[in-house]
Amino acid sequence: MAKIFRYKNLSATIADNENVIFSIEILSDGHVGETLINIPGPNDPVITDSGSVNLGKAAALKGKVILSYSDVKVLAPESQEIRVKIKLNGVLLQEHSNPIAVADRAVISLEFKIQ
Amino acid sequence: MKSYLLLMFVSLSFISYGQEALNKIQYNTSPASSIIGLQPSVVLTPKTHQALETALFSNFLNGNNLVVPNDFALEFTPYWTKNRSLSLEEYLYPKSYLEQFKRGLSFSIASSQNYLLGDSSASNAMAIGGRTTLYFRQKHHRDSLNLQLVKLRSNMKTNIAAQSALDEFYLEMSTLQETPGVSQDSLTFVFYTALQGKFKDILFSTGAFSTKEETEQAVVKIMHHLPLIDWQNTDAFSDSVSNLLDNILAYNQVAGNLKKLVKKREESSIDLAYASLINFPQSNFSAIYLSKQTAWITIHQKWLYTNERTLHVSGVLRREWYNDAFYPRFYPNLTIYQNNTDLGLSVKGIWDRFSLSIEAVYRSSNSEIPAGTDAFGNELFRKEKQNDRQVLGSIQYTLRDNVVLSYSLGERFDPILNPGNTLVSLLSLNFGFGGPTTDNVDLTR
Repeated sequence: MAKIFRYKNLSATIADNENVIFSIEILSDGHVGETLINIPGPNDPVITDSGSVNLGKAAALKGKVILSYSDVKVLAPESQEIRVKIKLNGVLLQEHSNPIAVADRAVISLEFKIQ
Repeated sequence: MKSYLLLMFVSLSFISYGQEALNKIQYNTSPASSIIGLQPSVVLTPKTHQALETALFSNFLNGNNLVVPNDFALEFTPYWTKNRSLSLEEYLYPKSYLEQFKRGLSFSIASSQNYLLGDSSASNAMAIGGRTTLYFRQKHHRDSLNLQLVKLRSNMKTNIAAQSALDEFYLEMSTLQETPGVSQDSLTFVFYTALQGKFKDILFSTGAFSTKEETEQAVVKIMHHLPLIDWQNTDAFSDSVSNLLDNILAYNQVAGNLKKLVKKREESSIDLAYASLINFPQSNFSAIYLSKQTAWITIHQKWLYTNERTLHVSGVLRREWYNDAFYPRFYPNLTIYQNNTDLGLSVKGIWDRFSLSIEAVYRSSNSEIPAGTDAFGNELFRKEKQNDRQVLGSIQYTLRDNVVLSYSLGERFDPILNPGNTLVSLLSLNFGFGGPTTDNVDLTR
């Protein structure tokens, strides 16, 4: 079963004319991961395992709540934790870690705003 | 017949990690500990993925000299000392055999202060070794894995899409709650109606079910089992939806199949190993001898009955080379062949925490001995040959996931010193270290 870890009221400062690049890096070996970023509009981007996606110009996202959900499972026998780094434009927004003993599948939910 | 007794015993307190490891540590059979004689087994068991393994030994010899050395063996796998951010596909299927070679490469070191010379005097000896494991590629395994991965990813996409939809609804509902004249009951009714339509869309888009009818039946099932939402604690409702989706999409079955497939990938492998023995007969650096070298090729086959019950069969070809300058000087008047070729078979059964193994090895020893010169002054040699055998049984008990207690009993090859003393009785304790501990991960989250 998945355990949901929620991180709320996060924020990042990005200049209006810059693109917002959302990146997820799953550090644990033997991982399977899917990430969905809920941005205003109908097309929510998805990242498989680790990777980056352009969310658009910062000006268009300012003041709006952005939600992201990463479902991560680790299957390598020697991995003893789930460790994930989520960044905006290369700057760490949130790092998550939990021992496999607590959950070998984690849903990491982020609620953040661009300032 | 004289008997030879080698007893190893360690008693230490330890802390182990709380989670279940799929690849548990086993009795230490590193190349270095084997060549220095800390363990009598010829067949090297497959290396675990622990970044560091170590064994502490203490032995008592019942010969003329009583010695209590602090012997030590350590095996180190550099690749796994840190996270490599490998996805499951990258982890199971390295792009090339060179990449596999690198990942499995481990180095071992062992030392003894009581390596006995020909006159029974104790000397210092050190062994260094290296080995790697290559897994055979199996197409049917990869196909099965891909099938399960598609299911898992579909499950994950459904789950995160549902969580995203729920959070969107919560935000909309919180706005509606502030609208005058909107009752809590009507709000809840609107929420569940919207949710039903959203679940149908999500299950269609993620391809969780193959037909429209199956999808609609799944939505009915989800709606039937949904708890009543508490608007003050929406997180609990989201957790329930996540669990419900896992049940409907048979998550446990998919995860179980994947775990089995990860273990099955190790079914067939080949292990390549090499070790050198370095002797310091005068306990200083003025006289150092590379006295013995050994190379192993071991083929392993594993049959997995359940996660806890497996049968392992290994075949080994081992070649040993003895240094011509060292042995005649420090082991005078003893018969030592220039090289040994060993051919052996090992069978091991694992039942939960217990394992039982037996190995039988046939040895062919050869030497070319100078036999003067011919009429033209050319050196002549005569060949000497001898055959020997070793039969060894071991029982192991896994005390914790990272600690293994092992006892071996059997008949070994004729040792160089005191030939005929072939009885082996060995007790040892093996430790594995690797990965983070509960001390360096954040347990508060």
